[in-house]
Amino acid sequence: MTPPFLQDAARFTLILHAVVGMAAVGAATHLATYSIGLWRGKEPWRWHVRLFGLIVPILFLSQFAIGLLLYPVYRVTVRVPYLDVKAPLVSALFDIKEHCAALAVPLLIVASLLARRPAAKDVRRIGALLAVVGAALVWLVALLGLYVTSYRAVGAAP
Amino acid sequence: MIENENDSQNQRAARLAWSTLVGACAFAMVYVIAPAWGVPVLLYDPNHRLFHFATPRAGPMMSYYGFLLYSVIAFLIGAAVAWLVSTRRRPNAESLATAIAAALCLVLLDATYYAWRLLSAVH
Repeated sequence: MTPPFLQDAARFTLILHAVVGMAAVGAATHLATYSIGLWRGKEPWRWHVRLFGLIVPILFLSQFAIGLLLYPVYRVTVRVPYLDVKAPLVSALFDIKEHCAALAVPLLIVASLLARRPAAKDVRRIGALLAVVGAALVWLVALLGLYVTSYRAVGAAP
Repeated sequence: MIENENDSQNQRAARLAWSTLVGACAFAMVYVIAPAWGVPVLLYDPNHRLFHFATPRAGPMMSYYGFLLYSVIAFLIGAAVAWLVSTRRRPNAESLATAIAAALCLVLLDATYYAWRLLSAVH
């Protein structure tokens, strides 16, 4: 049996995942806040919306990709031997986090595409709504990730 | 002249919003339907670092990547088809409202379905 992919670099990758995740939470929250402001007529916030419309997909997709790379080592070293046996609820919460992260992807992509373009008020409202729901999902993903990691993380001593 | 340019930019933004929302709906539908139907998918074996194409079964094989790939493909196809359709029929405020409502409902339904299924399996 081969050790899972990234097992040797699991702790470093987890820290990177957390740092990029924190940045993604902040950027998604900013995009949501500025998008609401722009929809409510604050034209000077247009520049901020465009800026965060660029930053959010870069950060969120990077964080998501790092999470996908870490998934095999989590599955083999954390989930199967530890969480499924001792804390099945935490194992289920991790799966919910993964589904929420995946479902946030299309919402944040659409919100970011709309944020990059000048648009009428009805389209701005759609962008703001998507940014708010997307940011809420990103917050949920981050909090569930922290909760699961507080039980057992990849790279933990046996 | 400037008004015409603004109109055309607004139309493009409305088309982009509508087509990507249709893509998001396709993503959310495939994300829940494909695993439920148990269609063959790309599976990853973390113990041997190998990919297989097969029907998912219980065990160490990971189907998450494969189903995610299906959903991303559904998003791209849905958005592309909707973009082509919107060249003939421009989306209005009503169709935009329907698309956003459908996309958000589907995403929230998916999240609720998975939360219910996973949590009920624990108890």
